Amino acid sequence: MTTTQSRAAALPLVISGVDRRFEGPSGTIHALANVDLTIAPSEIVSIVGPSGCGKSTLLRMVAGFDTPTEGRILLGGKPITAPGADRGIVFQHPQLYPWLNVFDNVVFGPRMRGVPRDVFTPAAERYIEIVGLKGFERHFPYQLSGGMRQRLQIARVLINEPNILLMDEPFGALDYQTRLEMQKLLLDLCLDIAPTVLFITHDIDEAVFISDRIYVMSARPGRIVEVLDVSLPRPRVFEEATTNEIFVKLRLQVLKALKH
Amino acid sequence: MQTKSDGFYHTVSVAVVALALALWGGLSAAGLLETNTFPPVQAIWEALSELLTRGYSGSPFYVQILASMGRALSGFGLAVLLGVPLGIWLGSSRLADAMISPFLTFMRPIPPIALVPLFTFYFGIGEGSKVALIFLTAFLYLTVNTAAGVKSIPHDLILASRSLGLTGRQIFSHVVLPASLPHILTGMRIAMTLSWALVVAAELIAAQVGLGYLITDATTFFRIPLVFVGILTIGLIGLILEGILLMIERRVLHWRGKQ
Repeated sequence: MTTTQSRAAALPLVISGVDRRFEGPSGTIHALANVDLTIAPSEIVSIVGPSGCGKSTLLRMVAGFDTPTEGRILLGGKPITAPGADRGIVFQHPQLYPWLNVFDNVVFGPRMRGVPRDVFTPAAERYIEIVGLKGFERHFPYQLSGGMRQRLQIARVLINEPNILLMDEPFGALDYQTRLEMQKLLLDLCLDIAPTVLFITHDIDEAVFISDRIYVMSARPGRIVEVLDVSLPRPRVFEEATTNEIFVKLRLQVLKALKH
Repeated sequence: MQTKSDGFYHTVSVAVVALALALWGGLSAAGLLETNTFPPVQAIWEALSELLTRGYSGSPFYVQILASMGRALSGFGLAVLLGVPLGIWLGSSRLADAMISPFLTFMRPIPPIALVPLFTFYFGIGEGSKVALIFLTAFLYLTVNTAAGVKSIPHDLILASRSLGLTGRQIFSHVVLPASLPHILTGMRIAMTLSWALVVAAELIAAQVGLGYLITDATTFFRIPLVFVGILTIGLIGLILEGILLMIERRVLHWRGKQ
């Protein structure tokens, strides 16, 4: 369970021709239309789109909670059939176990899957430190701030060394200051353990600041209307990046694509 | 508004109770109370010592208490054993909920006392009918509360658990059970209180021993101080039982309602 191993194990995600329709009481709801999206290992890819455009639906299909009506989702060439610890999902509202302390929340997945204690304990200590919760191991979720709970949720999926992090508007419920801190944490993670990330947001600045590539989706039925490469150099610092002309130009392009 | 410490309000409660008792003692000492129907503190005290030394109608006082507690706890225990699993099933299966809940919803508003004659007919005048009455009331309450607890678990928490690689069985025992524990324990505490309060009603069914029997029988013979002792004992034991369960709840569920 070392960094190099997890990096080597990272797999590309390929979404091709995905369509999703739901049968509702008032007829068929067409949520997603012909979505193509590719993420290479260690890439950070954002999906930006208006509320209800189906971007969460797409993420949930990658997580294995839902299946496409048409099209394929392949992780490392294999179709996704069920949820699994190889994909770490980070919800907007941290889904923690309120009866477990920070340490026990982090090791819950490995412990349940039968990973030996002497393997998961050092791993937990490492990831707790990486997300900045060192010293809070014995705290319970109710004793943590919103930002710290989100850090805990991230540590709880990182310990599984997933092929991809699926983040569903993870910083959307946090105050501005905390959101900036969390974005910095994510960028630091990229330098440190280089996870592959599929990131959903409706915050354009956030998408441009953290991503290697941005997919802009239309309103329902959600389809990809624009793909933008973010050529901002890394490491990125918020104050510098946001005044960079590449940043300014990109955010206008995203905005334009959203009005499409 | 000025905020006072918990200790202040605690002291107020104790002081008011003490004042009420003093008022009662004072009024009866001054001869302002009709002693036959509203006995003075002294008479109640004498009735208690008589009960402690000689018992009531052939059974010592502690046997009366234990008989009532035995009935309440048997009915309550059975209700926990059957109501919690049933509640979990109803909370996790919409089909089960649709099939069984109509009966529970219909039964719940029926006052248990209305069932006494029927239960006597079904289960006889022995322990069966009394335990059955307590069981039914506690069972209905616990089942509904447990089901509500299971239904209150956020769906995303279950999804997050599946995503961490948990099996269905692990999700049940390590996520669903602990997550619904607040509702289960609150249900147990209230079901316990209900069970204990129902003892008197249950013991109206031709009991020969027990606090409810003592109260009804003593009333027949107009031994009002004894009736008071019976009522005060029921109240005191009820408080203790609830206190114990509340203590367990607070220890186990320190995390409740803070997320």
